[in-house]
Amino acid sequence: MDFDPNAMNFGAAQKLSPQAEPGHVALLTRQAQRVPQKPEQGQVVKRLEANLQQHQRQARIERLKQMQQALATQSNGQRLMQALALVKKIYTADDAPSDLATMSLLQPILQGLLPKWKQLKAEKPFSIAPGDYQALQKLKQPHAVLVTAERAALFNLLSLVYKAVDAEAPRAPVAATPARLMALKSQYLRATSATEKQRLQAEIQDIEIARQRDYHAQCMRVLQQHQLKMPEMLKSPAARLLPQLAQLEQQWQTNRYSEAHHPVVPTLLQLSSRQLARLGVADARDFIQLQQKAVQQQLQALPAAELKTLLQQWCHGFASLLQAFQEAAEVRRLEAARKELNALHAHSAQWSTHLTEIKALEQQFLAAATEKKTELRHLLLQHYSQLLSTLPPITSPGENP
Amino acid sequence: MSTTDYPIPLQQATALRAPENLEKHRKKARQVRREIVLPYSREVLWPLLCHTDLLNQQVGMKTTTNFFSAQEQGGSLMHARGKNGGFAVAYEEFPYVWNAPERYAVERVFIKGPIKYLCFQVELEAVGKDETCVTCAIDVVTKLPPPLAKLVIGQEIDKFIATFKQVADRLSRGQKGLLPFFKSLPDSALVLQTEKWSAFTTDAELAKHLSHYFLCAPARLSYRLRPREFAAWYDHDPLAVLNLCLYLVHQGDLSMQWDCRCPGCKGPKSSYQRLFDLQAVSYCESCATRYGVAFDQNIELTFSPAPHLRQVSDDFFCAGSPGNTPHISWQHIMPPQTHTQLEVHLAPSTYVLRSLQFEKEYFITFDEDSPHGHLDVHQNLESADLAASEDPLTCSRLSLSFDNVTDYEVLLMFEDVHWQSLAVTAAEVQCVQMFHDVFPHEELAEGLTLPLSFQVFLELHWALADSELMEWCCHQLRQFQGAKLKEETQQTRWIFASAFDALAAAWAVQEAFQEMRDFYAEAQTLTLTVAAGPCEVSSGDGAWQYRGEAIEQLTRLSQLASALPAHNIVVSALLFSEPGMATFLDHGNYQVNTYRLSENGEDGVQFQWAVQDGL
Repeated sequence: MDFDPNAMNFGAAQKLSPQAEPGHVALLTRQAQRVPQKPEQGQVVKRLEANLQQHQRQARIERLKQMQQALATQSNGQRLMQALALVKKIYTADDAPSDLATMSLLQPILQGLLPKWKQLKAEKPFSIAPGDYQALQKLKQPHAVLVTAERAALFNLLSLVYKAVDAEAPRAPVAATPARLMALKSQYLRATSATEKQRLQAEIQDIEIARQRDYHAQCMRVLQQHQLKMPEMLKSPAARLLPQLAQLEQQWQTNRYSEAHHPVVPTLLQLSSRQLARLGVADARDFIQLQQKAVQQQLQALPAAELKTLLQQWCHGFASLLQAFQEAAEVRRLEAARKELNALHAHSAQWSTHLTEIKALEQQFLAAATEKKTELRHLLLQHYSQLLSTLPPITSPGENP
Repeated sequence: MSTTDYPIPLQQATALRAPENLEKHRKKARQVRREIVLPYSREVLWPLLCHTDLLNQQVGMKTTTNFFSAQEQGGSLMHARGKNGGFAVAYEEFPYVWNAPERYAVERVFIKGPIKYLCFQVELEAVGKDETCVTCAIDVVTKLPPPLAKLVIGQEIDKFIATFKQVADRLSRGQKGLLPFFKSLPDSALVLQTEKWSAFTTDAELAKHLSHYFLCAPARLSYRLRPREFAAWYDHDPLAVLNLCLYLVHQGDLSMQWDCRCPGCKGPKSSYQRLFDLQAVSYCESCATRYGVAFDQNIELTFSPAPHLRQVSDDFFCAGSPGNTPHISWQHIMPPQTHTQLEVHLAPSTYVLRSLQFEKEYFITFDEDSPHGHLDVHQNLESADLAASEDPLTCSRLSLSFDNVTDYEVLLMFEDVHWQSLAVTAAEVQCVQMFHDVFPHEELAEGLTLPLSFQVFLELHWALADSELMEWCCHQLRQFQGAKLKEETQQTRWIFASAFDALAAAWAVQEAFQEMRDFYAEAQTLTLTVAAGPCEVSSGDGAWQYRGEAIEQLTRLSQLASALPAHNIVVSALLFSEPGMATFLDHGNYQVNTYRLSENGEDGVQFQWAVQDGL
């Protein structure tokens, strides 16, 4: 920890005294003075100077980004102090931009950091004032000297610090960027020294591990969200669940990284979706159990224990959900069958009534005189027709009416 | 120093070199030998102990003046003159024969001095996992009385043995490459130079190591710094080394030279201060051949210290040393009218079997796990029966049965093809932004057009882009081995040394752009196009000019890119076929879509490569 509040000499900053000139700039200037005869030499020096400034900016931005990453993975008080100390160190160093425009933008921010650092050091709570956020928002505005990339890096780091302090939002882990990874791989391919290659390999591995860790954290967040939604999903009809599952599946599949490392989840989701769509098939339960078993085996191979446990829990919850749907479907089928039976009973009762009436009519028809028989035959045919119309449609066994 | 005027009549030289004369000396010769066990493997010790040029200097021998006489059949005779032990000596030197990392030897027939014949040989025998028994032996015929000769030669060998031990001691201090041969300097001298150069780089260690190299390396090494070799010895990024060296040339502390390496001996036989002086054809006096220069193959950029820093010259202490031709792993002389049967077993790699007296070359890969195992090769100079194939023959061991039916000796050698990759070629230097920044007027001679077998180009196209954002994106590209070729209002074109660098750079720009575009009020769009292929380079209108397939493809792809949604990287399919690309792109967060371009009835497969966000 290297942060001496007394060293943060805002007085000096306010006076805007010229900073000590960095050695390379001084040398470049001397070089420019030494060879003024040829116009192209002047251009070369200008170009080199511009390159140098860009490199200084790049170095500052890299440090800010690194701190942002470190802060994201472990943002305790110690880290926050380091972040604040770093910002101060970068912007009060010899090679920091020292022009009026930059100082007027940075000074309110730097001044705001001092009391927070003191509170952190004394392990006392503190809050972020609305003014702090306002000062930060100014970084988003166009600036004559401080380039956007640098303002963006500073803004991102400080807003992360402020949010961590305010605990307004959960911190999203920031993985090392793929660009950094590729740049390192490119450097690795260029390297000729075995030691250098080893060092780069180690750095690449660290980043890949960090990326995997971040990826796991993302997985856990997604799974947790869906686990929370499960009881609701259980209550909702399958029609609502299916699109949700499809969405979840798509979410996993859009990321090649997930496919490469955890083919378990997309496979499970795909199979489950298909299974849900076919609810009601007699062997569904066995099928799901078989799939669950296969998934469990695949889960054993997962590297991160934490993620493995969570995935197992999630899979278990998912299996329960599917089982509940299966049972619900059985109940629905039973109810349908019962309805069918009741309908048949009603038909049967109606049929008996009609039959009794018909039998009485038939008796009357047989006993009646010839002149009355024509009228009775007409009535009897009418009853036969009514009886046939009440019959249920012909269905095959197991088919719904 | 070397000269083409041969100091003795060629007839005399031929008589001295005659097989009968040589055989006579060999029979008469008496051997003096010493050995020492060193705690390193043969592979570690070989590059140091085979460097007789540096060993001779270390043991206190004087430089020699070398003379060459080109032979009609290829190759050349070598005559050396100098002083040894206070005596003026002159001798005909035969080529070194060696088999890395086991043995090397050289024979000399003298016409002046106390010695008549000498064969110097060093053998490295593995005695443990990381232990080697090094034997140094000299077979000698002298004019001195035998006891005195034995004493004097013994003392000479003792000096070599002491140097071998010294080298091993330095290895134990972690020194790599040829660093054990570097002299010690007072810290103050190094500190002064380091401080000065540290101002030009963010890597103080690099400044320190560069100071160490130029001030402490033996003159021959200091005279010619090869950036990749330096990076390997001191564990640095070769690009950082190259950048700093170019900058120091601009500062006047170093000077750069464009070496045209002979494809035969790989020696830098012509060197130019400026590319403008480069000629399409050069001549190698030791191989006695003319050779063409290729921008991406044998024109190499090296650096030497400015005279105010150190006065150095390209002095030879041993011209034919295996250390001077580290690309050759095995070299053997086939005497005239003889049949030779040899067993060759080299470290796993791909080699070229060649001879200065052959026209044909053969690629052979030594691989311990080769299914072909033992390979028998019968070679005759007049009827080459080894099928010339572009695919290397693979074997674990090679039996070489060779008939030399000619009247002259044939020198056979196995060259390791990977050695070439240590050169920083002109084609690579043109892809370094620092080179363009500090040498804007460095160009090829008018009318000189050189081919490039594979070159990568990147084009950035902006619509409604902020100038600061554009400049920042270009700065991202400068972090890689790439250089800006031209800049227009809405687009810039870059050249890159490798497909990996170009893709990594494109990715970095894409990421920087995505991070920053929300900071602008107006919508920003950027499309990147990467294409590769063969092309030609020349100079014109004060700039580097490129034309050919790669440029045509870049133009076609840029048109395709403009029709696609913004923020994509459009990449030529050819880049995806590069070896190692799959590993390189592994774990990336991307997706590849294939597009087929139809032009003049021909189908070309192109790729659209889009960066995606995470979950």
